[in-house]
Amino acid sequence: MRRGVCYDANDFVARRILLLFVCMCTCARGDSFDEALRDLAKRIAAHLAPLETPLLTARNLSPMPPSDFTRAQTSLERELRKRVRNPQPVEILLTIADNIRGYLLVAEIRRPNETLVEMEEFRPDPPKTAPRQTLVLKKQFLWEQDEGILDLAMVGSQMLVLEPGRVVLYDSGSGNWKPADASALDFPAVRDPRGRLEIAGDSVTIQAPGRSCTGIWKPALDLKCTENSEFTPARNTMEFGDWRGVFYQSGQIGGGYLVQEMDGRVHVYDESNSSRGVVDGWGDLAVVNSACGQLVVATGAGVARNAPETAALYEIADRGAIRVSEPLDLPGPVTALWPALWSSGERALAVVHEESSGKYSAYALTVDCGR
Amino acid sequence: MRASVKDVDPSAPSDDPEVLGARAALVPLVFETLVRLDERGDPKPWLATSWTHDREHKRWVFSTRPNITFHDGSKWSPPDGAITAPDDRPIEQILRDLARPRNAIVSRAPDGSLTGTGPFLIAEWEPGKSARFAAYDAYWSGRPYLDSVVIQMGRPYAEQAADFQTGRADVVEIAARDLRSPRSSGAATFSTRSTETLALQFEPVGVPDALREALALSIDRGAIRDVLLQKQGEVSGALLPPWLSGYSFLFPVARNVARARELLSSSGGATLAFAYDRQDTVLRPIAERIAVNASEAGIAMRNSSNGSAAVRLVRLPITSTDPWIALSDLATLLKIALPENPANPYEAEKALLGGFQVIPIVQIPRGWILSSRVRNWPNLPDVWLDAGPSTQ
Amino acid sequence: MTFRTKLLLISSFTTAGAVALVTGAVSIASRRAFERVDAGRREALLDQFRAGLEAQGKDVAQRVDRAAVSVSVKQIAAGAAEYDSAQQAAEAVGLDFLDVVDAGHNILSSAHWPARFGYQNDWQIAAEDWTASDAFLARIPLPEGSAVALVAVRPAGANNAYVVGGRRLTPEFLKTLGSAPGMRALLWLPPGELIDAQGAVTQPERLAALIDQVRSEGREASGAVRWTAQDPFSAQRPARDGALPGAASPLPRRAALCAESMECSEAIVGLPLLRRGSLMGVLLAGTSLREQMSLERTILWTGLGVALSGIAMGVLLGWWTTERITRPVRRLVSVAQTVAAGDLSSRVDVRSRDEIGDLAQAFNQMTEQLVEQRERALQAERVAAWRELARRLAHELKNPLFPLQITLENLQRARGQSVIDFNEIFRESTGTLLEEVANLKTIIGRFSDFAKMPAPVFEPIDVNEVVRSAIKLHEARFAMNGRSAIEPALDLAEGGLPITADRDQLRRALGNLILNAVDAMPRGGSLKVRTARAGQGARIQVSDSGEGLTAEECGRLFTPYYTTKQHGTGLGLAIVQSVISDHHGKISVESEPGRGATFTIDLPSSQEAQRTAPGAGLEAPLKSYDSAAPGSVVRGVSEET
Repeated sequence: MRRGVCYDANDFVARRILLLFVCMCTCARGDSFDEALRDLAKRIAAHLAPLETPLLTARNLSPMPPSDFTRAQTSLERELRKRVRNPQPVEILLTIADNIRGYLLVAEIRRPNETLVEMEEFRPDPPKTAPRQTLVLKKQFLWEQDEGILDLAMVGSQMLVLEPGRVVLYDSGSGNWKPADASALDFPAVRDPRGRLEIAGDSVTIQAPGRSCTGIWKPALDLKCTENSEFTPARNTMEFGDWRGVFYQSGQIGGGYLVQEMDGRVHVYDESNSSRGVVDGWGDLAVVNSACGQLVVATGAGVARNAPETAALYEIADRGAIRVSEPLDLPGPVTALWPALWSSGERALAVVHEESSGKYSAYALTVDCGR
Repeated sequence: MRASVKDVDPSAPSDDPEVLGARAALVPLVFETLVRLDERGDPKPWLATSWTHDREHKRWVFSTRPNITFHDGSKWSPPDGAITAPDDRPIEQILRDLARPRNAIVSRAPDGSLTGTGPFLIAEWEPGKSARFAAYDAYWSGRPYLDSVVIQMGRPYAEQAADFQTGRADVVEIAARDLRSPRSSGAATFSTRSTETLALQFEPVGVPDALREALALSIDRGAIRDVLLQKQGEVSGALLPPWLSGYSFLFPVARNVARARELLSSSGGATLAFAYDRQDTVLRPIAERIAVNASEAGIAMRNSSNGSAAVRLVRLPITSTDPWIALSDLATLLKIALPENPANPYEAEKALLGGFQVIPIVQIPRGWILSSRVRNWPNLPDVWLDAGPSTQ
Repeated sequence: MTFRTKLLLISSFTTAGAVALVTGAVSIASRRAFERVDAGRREALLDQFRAGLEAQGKDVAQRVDRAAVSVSVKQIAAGAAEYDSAQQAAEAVGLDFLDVVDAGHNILSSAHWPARFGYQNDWQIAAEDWTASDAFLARIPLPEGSAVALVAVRPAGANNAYVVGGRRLTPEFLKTLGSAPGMRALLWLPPGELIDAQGAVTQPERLAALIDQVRSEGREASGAVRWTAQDPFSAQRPARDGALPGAASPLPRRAALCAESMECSEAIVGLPLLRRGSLMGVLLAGTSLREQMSLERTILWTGLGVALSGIAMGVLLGWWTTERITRPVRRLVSVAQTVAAGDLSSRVDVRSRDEIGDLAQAFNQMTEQLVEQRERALQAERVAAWRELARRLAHELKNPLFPLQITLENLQRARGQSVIDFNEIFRESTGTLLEEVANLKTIIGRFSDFAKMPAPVFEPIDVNEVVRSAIKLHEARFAMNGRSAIEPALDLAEGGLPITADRDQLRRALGNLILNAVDAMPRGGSLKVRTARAGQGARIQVSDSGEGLTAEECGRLFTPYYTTKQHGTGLGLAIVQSVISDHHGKISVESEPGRGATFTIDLPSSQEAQRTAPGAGLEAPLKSYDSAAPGSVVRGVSEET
């Protein structure tokens, strides 16, 4: 089973995100939420002495979008505001949490000798179930070769192929892909190798376990390699500077993170790094920004190590994932799955070890948003 | 399953947390209630299709589902196709009560045996050891896909794992901390939300308040969750998990060893007799860790070998998606009275946790390893087996 | 003590003393030899233990080396293993304790106490030991207390992690160090754990003083310990029938109990186990003193046996020797006693030609001379006694005869006077004549009585009763005619004083003594009569508070006719002595001038009377005496009225 890594094209080391829970969309809250805030404000006010004024702070422990959260805080402040002379501020901490029934608005009225708690539940209306588009995941053949392919990037009429021991530049000027340049890479042999190509203009950065190389690929390959890398040396894992532990893959979706951790499960995290769910059953994943939204391309967990895999499209919802396309059969086990950065992230690159030929084939996986 | 269940009589009480949790899973297979709580804790029609308020007679009338038969073939036919309940309480409470297993619709034979209307009937029952549930062909919602389910009871994790390895079981329970390890061997796992609270329960008398509080302050819950449970589960100072209550953050979990020592400074330390199920591979390392934490605060936790102990580490099941029902069951297990008419579950839980008679530690999920042919776990009536060859 | 006894004692003491000296010298020499040998063995044992400990330490270090390079430890060090993975690593290399710690010594995984992950390793390892290559002793905290182990530290894996592992010190561990029969090793570990390879240590408190000494001084110390409960080496000894130690032995369990003997003693050397100046433990090497004690006991018993034999032989030889020496002496003594008893015809028959023979001859000559002198003395005394008797008789008779003569002359002259005057004078004269004739008769009667005092008639009597009757008889005398009253006081033996005697004679004798006492107190005084048991006989004492007697008077007092009184025949005390002599008793007097006199009579009971030595009843030889000096107060015995 291969592991992949999902890159955010804009900010690879971003941490603070908020996970988007599609089913908890606030579009239907409207008045009910305000009513809940008003009720809460009344109950808070009942505990305040005439000269006491609230000093409100708030925190969001729920998947409520920041905009809604800010609105809630503002509303409550407005409801609690009062003008007094010689006000005696009282600290009030508003926490918006959630449970299976909906949101829970908790206000802690903190005085030096006691803390009073008032809470109000708010159940959002169930999201209108829009008729789901029929999404289709399609694959498009890109390249095939005998040696293993770690990553592949297509830029115009040129193609860079990253292999375990070298990077090769191909040119299709004559209609066929022909090797134009190659650069050997002194990467130590690793079991289950992985690598990543990042192209920015003429620059290229190559990441591999324990080594990374930077340089240019145009007009010719000129690379300098060092021993720093985001790939764990001699392993098929990755590590970020301040992320706890190593992981196989990660992906940024909406405001959240998907991290395939050492337990093999894909964990869903929000902006505060709180776990918001777990997805089981995925092998590799890549987040694509399709015309019908951010989706996850994920391969199904193969029963045997080299069994053919399938790939499908998923949406993240309800602390888990919902499959939104039929599984796409692949001709062999997937050895690499990345967002295809050279396609603005619309597609995913899948490398398959063909069962029949034994060769390594690269496919672009695309999303057909349907009718 | 690890629990040894002697019977599935829905009205039989149990003060064994493990049995209570297991019965909460088994009873609905055989016996059904008028309403059921869904995943959000909302009551849904089940054997009752609807309910209306009869103001005149000050009652609620529950229309019963037609064509319900018991496993012995007899029809369930309440008079006038309805069941009534007085309206002396809010309907939410009435519905909550009707959803409890003890209010299941049962047929009691003269010899005391029970018959239900659920998707499975009890084909064989060896109390505490094994049970075979057979599909009820005439089940009103459709016969289950499985022909039968055999459950071996009283099996520790290790034995269940051996059963799975040897192919004697399709589904076995797995300790929370091991949820990730079978992945590397290709096995599929399934885990729930946190449905068990591991907590320290004190004897009602004999332990000073300061000592209980000191013990609560000395526990490093983070290390227990991160290392012993391999980050499976949640640190909690509350009995109900966050997904059920939402307010668990209100109960403190911070460790304060200095304060704990301060509380014990007048007595210069203390010793507590400590008991836990040593065969439980989840509880044992947690108990040992708690003892190490406590020793930092000057509390010596001595293992109790004769069953009597001042404090025990117990698994408290979350038996319902309704916080009131869950709290009520917990109060019964803990033998602590709930306050009269609490305004909300938080007030009730706060009363249970006041005085540190019980100290929640972490909440852990339930997990299972599934063989490759199992589909649609864990709702048994919907589970089916892939006919393809097993590659386990 | 006889001469023979003295000779025997001297020879016995000489023999015993010599043997004791030899025994003591041998015992001391053998003990010193034992101690030297034992000290050498203990040092060898300690060296062996040191070497064994070092070897065990190397073994531990090798195991820790293997653990440090194992995959599981590396995974733990890299943070890629579970918290309890160290258990597997420890089992794989055979270590009892294993901690994998990070650079800050925080536990990443602990084999023996998995729950301590995240805590600081607290095996009290000094900073320099973290990089040491040798194994060392350390105390390992455990859930149930703590244990001491041989521990080694090695770097492990990445991130400056360490693996610290060790093996517990147990009795089995001590056994692997090896020991010789009669020797054993114990290990004391602070704060107070004592490990013995043979099992639980009984009476550990007896080692406390030695251990404390080693701890306080920080150097080797030795001492001896006596076990009273059980011989710690009993398990090492084979049973009598050759069965293995520990098997059912026909020897009774008493063999293992040491309460009654000193054999269960042990000489122990304590060696401090130091690590950078701090005491990690005390190694105790003990050797059984049983053999030494046994040998000493053997020597002692042998010496005792030799001494007793020597004494016995000395006694036998001494007896034979002294017999040869003392037999003639005893013969001499026997004859001398016979001679002293009065039989001057006895002669010593000793024919040896040594000093004893010369002594015997001289004795015989002396005895013959004594016989001759005695006969001459007897003869002279007889002559003197007759002369005295004649004088006394003449004196006594003269007195009444003179008035007789005067009266008869008066009567002759009166014949020539008138009839009436003649009748008057005839009447007066005849009266006087009759008085004086009666006086004469009395005097002659007394002499006759004394000459022919009858033999006593023995019958059972009570001395106290006789005393009382004698007092009563003479109590009229106690307040007579112008004399102050004499206070009689009786101190009689309780319960009576039965003897066999002649009641009348005894009363007469007592009466004479009483009269004598009364006469000695002309101005009154006190008269005490006391009776008491003397052996199986009786003692009678008559004391007065009169003028007393000089020593010379005491010596002559019992001589007939000797009197210190101006009147009296002087026969009273002689009669007393004669009576006492007939009763086979003794009479003596104690007196000093001015302090009264006490007469003491000892009378035997009837049995003793039969065993009385020959001659005891004989009259005391008559003594001659010079006539009393003029002016001296002389006493005599008043005649019985």
